[in-house]
Amino acid sequence: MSGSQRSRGGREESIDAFMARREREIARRGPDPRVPAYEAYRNSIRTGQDLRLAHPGDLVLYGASLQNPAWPGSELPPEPAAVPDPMPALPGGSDADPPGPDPDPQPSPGSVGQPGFAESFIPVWGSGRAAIADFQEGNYGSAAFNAALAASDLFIAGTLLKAIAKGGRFALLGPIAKEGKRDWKNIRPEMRRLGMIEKNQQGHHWLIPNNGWGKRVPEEIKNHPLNIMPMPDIETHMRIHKSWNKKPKFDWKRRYWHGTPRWSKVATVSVPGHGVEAVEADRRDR
Amino acid sequence: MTALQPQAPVLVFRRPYFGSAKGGREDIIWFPSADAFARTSYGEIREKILQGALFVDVTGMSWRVLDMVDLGRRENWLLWIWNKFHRGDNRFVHYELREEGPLPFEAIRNRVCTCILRSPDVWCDWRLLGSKGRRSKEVRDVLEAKAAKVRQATDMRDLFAALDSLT
Repeated sequence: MSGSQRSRGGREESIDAFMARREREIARRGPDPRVPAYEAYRNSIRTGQDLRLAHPGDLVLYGASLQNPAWPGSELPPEPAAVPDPMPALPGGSDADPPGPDPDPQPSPGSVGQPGFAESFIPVWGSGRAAIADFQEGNYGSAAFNAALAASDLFIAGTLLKAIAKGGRFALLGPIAKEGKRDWKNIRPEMRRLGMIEKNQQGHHWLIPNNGWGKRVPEEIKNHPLNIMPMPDIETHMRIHKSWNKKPKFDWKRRYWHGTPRWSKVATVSVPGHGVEAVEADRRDR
Repeated sequence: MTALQPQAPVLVFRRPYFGSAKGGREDIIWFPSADAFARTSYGEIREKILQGALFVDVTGMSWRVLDMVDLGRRENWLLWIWNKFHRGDNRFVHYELREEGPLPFEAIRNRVCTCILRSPDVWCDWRLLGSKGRRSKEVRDVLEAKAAKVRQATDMRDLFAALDSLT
């Protein structure tokens, strides 16, 4: 390498001397945190694509100087205390430590970023964002899991919205919204009127039974439309409870399959899925 | 109490599970084999669901059920655990019975037909009941067709075969 340039102090300095000094500075202070931001900016200019920063916070930190034609390495990086470090320092590390392998790799510059702990509990949004981030980071298995989670959230939300569209206030509040007796005999005609169950169709109390231990539960709770599942036929309903004609009672797998609404089965998968996602987000945050 | 035990298949006339029992309305179920007769679910034993029911076996002999007793585990552990998960009727039951004597086949057949004709909720599709009404001609025709099939039976085995074909 040959040639020379004016150094910061105004003295002439050869390229080799500059590179050696630069490497010494990097070894002493660590790599300039602005470099990835400048590189992303230069790439966006060169390729004509949108500016994608690895850390959205870089825009706030360096946004004003990104258009500065000077290479960030040509001047001393700001003191670590002056610029907040976008990455927390490892415990026990120091400025003089040589840069080691990153224990938790940062998302690639094109990623929207993983949701935080609380964010991952938000239906559709949390799992949807995680799915997009996983896909952009190349974690296709995890992306498929999170996409399925988002789809299950959408299904549950859609079912609830449809029920509310059909049953209005009654679908939300159930028998509380109705005056008079709130036993099944009186709730059933109301559900029929609203089109939530058809004439002569059996309604199964799927979570809280109408009899047995359900007798101790108030009528307005156990006769809530969310607890009533319209049954396809009498045999299916009866075999959830007992033997019917010549056939025995369902085993627990078929009782679960035939005796719980689809949205509840989806929620059975979705709720623990969000829990797993939240634990994962918490691990990343730490 | 009786030492004589019913021989499978066994027909059961019992009080209706839902709806009114007015006018002597009954439901029927049947156990197609000795294994099915010996087994039931825990809930059915707890509720003594067949207490007071009438058993009629393949020979035409009848018994009244006085009580249902849980016999607990009667098989090896592995089979018991397997059946716990894969069978709804995973309890062995003993029925305390009082002998009621033999019943003429015609009486049994007519009683079965009456059960069918009086229980449109059980023997008719709910959609037909909902659209046409339980006293409609269409519902009547469906019930009559099923009862007619039972009436063609000439002995108890025929009767069970006819009932099997209806479900």
